[in-house]
Amino acid sequence: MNKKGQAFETLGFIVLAVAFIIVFTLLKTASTKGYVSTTKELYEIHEGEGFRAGINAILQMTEKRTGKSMIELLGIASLLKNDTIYFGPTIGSINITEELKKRFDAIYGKNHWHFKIPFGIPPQRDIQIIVVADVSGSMCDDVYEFKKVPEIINVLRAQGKSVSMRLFLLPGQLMCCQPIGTITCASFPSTAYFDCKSLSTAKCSLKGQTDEDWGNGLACAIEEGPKNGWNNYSIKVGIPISDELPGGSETCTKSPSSAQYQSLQNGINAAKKIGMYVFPFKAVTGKECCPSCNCGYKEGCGICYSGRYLFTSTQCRCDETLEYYMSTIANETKGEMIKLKDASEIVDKIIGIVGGLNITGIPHIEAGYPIPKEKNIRAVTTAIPTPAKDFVVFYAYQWS
Amino acid sequence: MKGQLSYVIKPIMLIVTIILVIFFTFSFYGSTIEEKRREKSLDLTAMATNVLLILANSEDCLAYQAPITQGAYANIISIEKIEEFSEKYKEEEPECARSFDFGWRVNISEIDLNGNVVKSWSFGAKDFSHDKKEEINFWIPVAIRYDSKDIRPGKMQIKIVYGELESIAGFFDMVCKTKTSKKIEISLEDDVKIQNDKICINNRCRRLYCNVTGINEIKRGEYILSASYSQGKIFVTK
Repeated sequence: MNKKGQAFETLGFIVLAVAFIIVFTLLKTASTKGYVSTTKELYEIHEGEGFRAGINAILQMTEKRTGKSMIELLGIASLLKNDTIYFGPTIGSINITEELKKRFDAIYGKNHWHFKIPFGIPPQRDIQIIVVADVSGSMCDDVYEFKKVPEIINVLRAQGKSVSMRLFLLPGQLMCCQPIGTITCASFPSTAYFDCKSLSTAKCSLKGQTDEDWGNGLACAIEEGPKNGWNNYSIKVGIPISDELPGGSETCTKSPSSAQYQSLQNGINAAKKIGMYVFPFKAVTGKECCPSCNCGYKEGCGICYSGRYLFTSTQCRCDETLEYYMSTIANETKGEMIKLKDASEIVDKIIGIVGGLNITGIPHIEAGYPIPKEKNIRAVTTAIPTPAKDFVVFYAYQWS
Repeated sequence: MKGQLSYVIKPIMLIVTIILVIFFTFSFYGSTIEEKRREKSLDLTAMATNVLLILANSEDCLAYQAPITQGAYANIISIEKIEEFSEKYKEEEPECARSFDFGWRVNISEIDLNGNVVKSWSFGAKDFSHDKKEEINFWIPVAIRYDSKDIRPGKMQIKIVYGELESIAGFFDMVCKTKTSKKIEISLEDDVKIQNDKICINNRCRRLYCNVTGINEIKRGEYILSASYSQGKIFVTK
């Protein structure tokens, strides 16, 4: 064999050995890559399953005060279009967003999660209004004004507000001068969304002891409820209308032990129990036209009832106390006291109250931390049933 | 001169060839072992997820089962079952989620809304192999059900281990549970001691489902073990 031949033989052997080593290395690299990607896949499956399990677990956890699960509370919140749910005076309000935030933070830690529940285009909430009217003679013009209300209710409904009203007349008889005459429930037209009921026929315990006892009267009216009963998810509005303290303005006391204050407290308790907003209408007492309250009747200052023109001196003296009573019930129930300058304002004020209520609520519930762009984000979508027998979708995201 | 060159190169090439052959043989053998290790590692990862999900979702394990519908709720675990398991399975894995290849221990903690651990329970294997070949720790969130109006946040964490002790104990437990006869080829790096339903390697012990008879000790080395079930006991021969 010559030198050239030997060199080729050696070279051939080296090339073969190198080729073997390269092929072997490539095979090993491919195997390692396969292992790494399978391991990664398995970890992702675990993380995904773990997150799904976590969402199931969180939604089934209960809130301490109500004993309701997160999924139940979310369902109610989505129906109310409000993440704060009022459960009456004993429990108070529950904010579902805050409750979920605490649980997500406790389990996944801060900066590792985000969720959103869009509500879509929801049906508007019903507005159920009850009015409790003082039927003492000085209220003739105010109560008579409610004859216009059924038509206004129809107009509001035509505008898309799902509003209904029941007028409760306190026990007594409203003997007004002509052309009004005696007012009873028969004086008001009854429609599908408006009717009148006298509390003298009511079966409740706190009926209202006098024709001005609007505190107990409100409690009784709440117990009686609207024509078709209370809707659990409606916005409830109560409107006591009077120019006297509940039970009468013979004494202008603010004492919590007084019968007037007890009546007020009964009204407050009943309203708070069902989450009612109270907008008391303070009718004209005479103080506006006669600050001293020592005036006789004159045109525009006083009223005709029981066949006589009179200045409302009893009501006038307790004007400031009445304001205190009415603002107390309004503040306690998140409503507002409305001071009427004239009976003719009643219709406009009712329209204003209905217009000011938030009936659509919030468009979605969302909480958590901004979703990072350069992270592996795990996502879970789940359906939340609502009490209206439909579903909203819960989108949850989590990252390491 | 030509002949002299050939005398030098040919032995060198022979030596290089032998070295290459040895290198490839060992690499191939090493790769097979490595593949097996990776396979076990992947099995371990998958098993960790499976065991956690079985524990949280199976009514035979911890899942809360509604008495009326007999249905289990996903990831709601019953406090009664947690307490029962932590009492009953202090030293071994519960049968509802037993893996015959691995050993595991679960720790369940109830947490408050600040993320602090309020209470904790654990059950599963009391001890693991001294020289663990693989170990993985995973967790999932769970809801701990005290009653229908009291369901609290919790975490369920698993430590799952693959080693010599888990492997041989798993073999005995499988024979016990399936009530059959089986053989296994094992290579032991340490001596194994067996006393009734207790098996130990390097003072790390596990409890078995059945008592073992016929053998008290297996010295390190390679064996084919035969095990057969009879009347609540396993008879083992080498």
